[in-house]
Amino acid sequence: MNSEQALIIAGSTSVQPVMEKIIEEFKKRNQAIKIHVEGGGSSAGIMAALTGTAQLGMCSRELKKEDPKEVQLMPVCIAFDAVTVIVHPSNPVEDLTIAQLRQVFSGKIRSWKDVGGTDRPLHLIVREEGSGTRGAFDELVMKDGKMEFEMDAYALVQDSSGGVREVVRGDPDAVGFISLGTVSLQVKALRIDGITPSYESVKMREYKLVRPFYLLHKGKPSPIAQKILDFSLASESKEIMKKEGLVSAAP
Amino acid sequence: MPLPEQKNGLRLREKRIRAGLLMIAFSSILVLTLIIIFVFKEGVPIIFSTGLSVFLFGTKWAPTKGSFGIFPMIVGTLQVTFGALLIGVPISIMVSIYLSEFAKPLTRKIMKPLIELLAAIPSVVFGFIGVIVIVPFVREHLGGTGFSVLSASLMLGIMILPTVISITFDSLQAVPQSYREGALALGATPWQSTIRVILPAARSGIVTAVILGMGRAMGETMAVIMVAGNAVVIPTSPLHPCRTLTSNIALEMAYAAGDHQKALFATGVVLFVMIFLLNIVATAIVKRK
Repeated sequence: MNSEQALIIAGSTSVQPVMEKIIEEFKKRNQAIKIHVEGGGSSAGIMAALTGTAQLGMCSRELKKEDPKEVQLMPVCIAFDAVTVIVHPSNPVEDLTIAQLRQVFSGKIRSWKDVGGTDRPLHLIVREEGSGTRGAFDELVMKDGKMEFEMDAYALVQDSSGGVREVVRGDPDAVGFISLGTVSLQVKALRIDGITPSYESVKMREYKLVRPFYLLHKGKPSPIAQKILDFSLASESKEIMKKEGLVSAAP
Repeated sequence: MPLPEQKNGLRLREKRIRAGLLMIAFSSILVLTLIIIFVFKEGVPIIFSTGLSVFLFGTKWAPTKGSFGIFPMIVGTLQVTFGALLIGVPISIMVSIYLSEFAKPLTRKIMKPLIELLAAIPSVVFGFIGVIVIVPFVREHLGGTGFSVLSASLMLGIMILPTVISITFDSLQAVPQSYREGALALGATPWQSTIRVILPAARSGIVTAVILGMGRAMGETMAVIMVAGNAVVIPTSPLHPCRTLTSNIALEMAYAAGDHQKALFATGVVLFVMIFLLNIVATAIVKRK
């Protein structure tokens, strides 16, 4: 690789915000190195790392068997994120089990009454196909052993965490799932199996709906890429991640 | 008289200019051709590997799991488009009739530019208003989530107003004054003359206006994504959510890879063919007069 070239990190838009902050900090220490952080999505990140368009790919879900030649890629887990289930603040429901969530999002339960709420219809808000958050939710919630449940077809689809949050904020009957870092005060995060999603509960491995954030590289990383990988697991990055609601994967 | 050499030089220059202009004229067609070739090249193979009828009439869209059925989106696109026309066209025609036949010149002078200003509002602003005003209104008064075919139709109905009004107005104005005078001289009231004489005379212009409005409604993406709910279902009620073909591409493009991405290009191919067919039908209607 030409040393004049900028290093490109591309992929998941869930990882992107925190990665940008980490790189900002990294650049303060290593001013000579040019680095671009780009979005595109987890699948795009995997492709970019494979084809070499990006030296590092960002991915916010486990690599799947269908992913092309995933064996060639080395994933480095840098952080853990809580997939948070959110409802309108006026909703009396505080707590759901994973089994209930599965029933809710597959459309088997259609009223809040059946999960301890008022007799109102459930409005499901999900992310679009291909999104990392959706992939993680499918993996963590919609799978029961070997059984795979499908998302209810009538669920509304939004193409960003912000979009899901805004719909839930406006609709008293809505329920959706977003990254913990994007939860705001205008929506209520539900306890899952009795555990409140938070930095602490993720760190203590109590909260169940946790997904990894990966940096992917193909073959042996270049010296600069290795430096970035190391920095992402360093204590400075830990602090940045904590501010973003993420738990560093560093021991 | 110019010398033969000079004459030849001039001719040569003329020819060069003509050739240059011709090239520029063709460059826009070239761009269109390249886009068509590119979209078809990317999209058509997956249509055939899925099977044309499965792709067009399949109801299951799970692109990351290998199911590519876009029928719900074709239905969604048609419902939203015709819903918008149902709401927008009658209003547009009535507004145009008022402006052209009944309004005082001063009223017309003020209203016409204001209506045209509506076209300058970016579609994302319409979408924003849709989310803030129309969606909660539908949810509270009619039920459902509010993100629905109805909300999208209402919003698009408003968005096509300036297009349809302007062209309808122009075609009403193009009806010769003698028609009006003739009708009035025969004892028709202004209303009778408008409905029985002016409107039929302006028919082809009005049809053109409706077609352009339809194109606008069908092609709109951003605003529709914001209010339609985007669920891949065949809506059986105006309060159900739906996804249009354009929304499908815009929603999933960012994250799509491999076959998923190809399937989105294929969605574009279907949209292209649909708009092409509608244009042919529409042109045929206008020509028949």
